Amino acid sequence: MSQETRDKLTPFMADLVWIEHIGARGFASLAAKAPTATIREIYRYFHAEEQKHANAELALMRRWGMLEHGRIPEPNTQVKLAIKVLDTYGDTLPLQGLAALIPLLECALDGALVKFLTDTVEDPLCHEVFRHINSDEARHITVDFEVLDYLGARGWISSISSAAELLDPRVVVGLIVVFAPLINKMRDNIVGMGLQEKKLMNAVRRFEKLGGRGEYTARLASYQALKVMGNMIIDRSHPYHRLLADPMVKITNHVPRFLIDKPQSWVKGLSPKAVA
Amino acid sequence: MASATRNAPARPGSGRRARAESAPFHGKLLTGTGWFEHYYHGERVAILASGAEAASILPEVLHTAETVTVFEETSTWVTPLRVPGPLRGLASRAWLRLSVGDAWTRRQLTPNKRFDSREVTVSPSYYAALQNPRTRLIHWPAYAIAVNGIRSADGVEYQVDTIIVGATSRFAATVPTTAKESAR
Ligand SMILES: [Fe+2]
Repeated sequence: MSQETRDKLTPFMADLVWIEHIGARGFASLAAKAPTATIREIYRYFHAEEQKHANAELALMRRWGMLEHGRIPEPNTQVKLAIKVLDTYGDTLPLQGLAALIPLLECALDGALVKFLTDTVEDPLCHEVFRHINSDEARHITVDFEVLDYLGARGWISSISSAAELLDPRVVVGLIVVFAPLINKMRDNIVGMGLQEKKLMNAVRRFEKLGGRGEYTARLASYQALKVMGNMIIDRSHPYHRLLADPMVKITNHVPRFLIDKPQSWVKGLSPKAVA
Repeated sequence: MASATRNAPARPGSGRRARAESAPFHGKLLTGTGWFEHYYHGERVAILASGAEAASILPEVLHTAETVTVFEETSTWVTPLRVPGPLRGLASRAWLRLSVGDAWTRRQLTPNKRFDSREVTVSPSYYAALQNPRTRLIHWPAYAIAVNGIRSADGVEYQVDTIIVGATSRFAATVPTTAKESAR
């Protein structure tokens, strides 16, 4: 790998590792709120598997000489904010919100980011690793949408009352202060590196298509809201960027350190080693 | 070895998850009360057990073992002494809060209201033993017993010399009988 590619890819890989790690933490919250014992058990596995992805990507970074002195890359401010929110509210956020957010992230990771990476890097081991990660991710996405459909099938009364839960200020603030800048920063970084915006579009189309297959998924307010948000994110000319996401990236870059300093110990769980 | 899959519990998918590998574990595999008779001096030990079982196994084993890796399959409430019924819930919550400083570890040790048993285990030393620097608490589901140790769902192989399988562990049914004999 040339020095140029390495320098270009390092921040991208670091973001990828941290997004997987946050995704893992998201599954831990889902497991705690799972509607049935079986789904809880499945989420416990997904939690572990997402951490496995983060570790595997970290191992690739080490292989490519991207880790300075074997050190885990420092998360950026937006990631730290997401960690803070998950630590503080993760286990109390409404189930259908997280349950719809995670497949959207997975569609984007799986469909756009990882494909971009395998197109850019020729390392055969990298292709092998992401073949495994993708097959996990496909399994996760299938289950995620099954659960959404299950939640939707609980009926209109439940759909409406859980839609009201989404108006919880923690959810609204979480989306505006944490999710919007986190995604926008990553989105712009990767488009700047040469990812075609069309691929991001395909990821959101896939989210819509898979959700559209479920008979009851459409009843979920969280799914509908994220569909709208996903479409705004991919369209760079949408006022969403000018009025909300771009200013939020700027503001969150200056969040005082003491607010986001002490993360919980799961953050230290990353390791590029396969044997312990 | 085929019996390993046949004996697996009928829960969907669990036969695939909790399985004994075709190549047997190199070290000692202790089942039943075997853990009580074994001498652990200088060994790296793994415990596959429910929280209630691990609470009695871990403090004993940690006396002599070099390191202990605990795969706690289900969490349990713990009190240091016997507490009368109505106070048990409160006492176990307070004991957890007092004994475990790290919020994430505490989260892992907290039984789920809806899915886990409300039973309370009496153990004065479980939490202290879990936080001993020679102990590792793993909350990932163990995936398989491999040649050199335990492979868990996070893709890491935890290499050990001895594995203790608790009586109610979901591995209890899948451990091959030959291994059970070799433990004696
Ligand atoms: Fe992943």
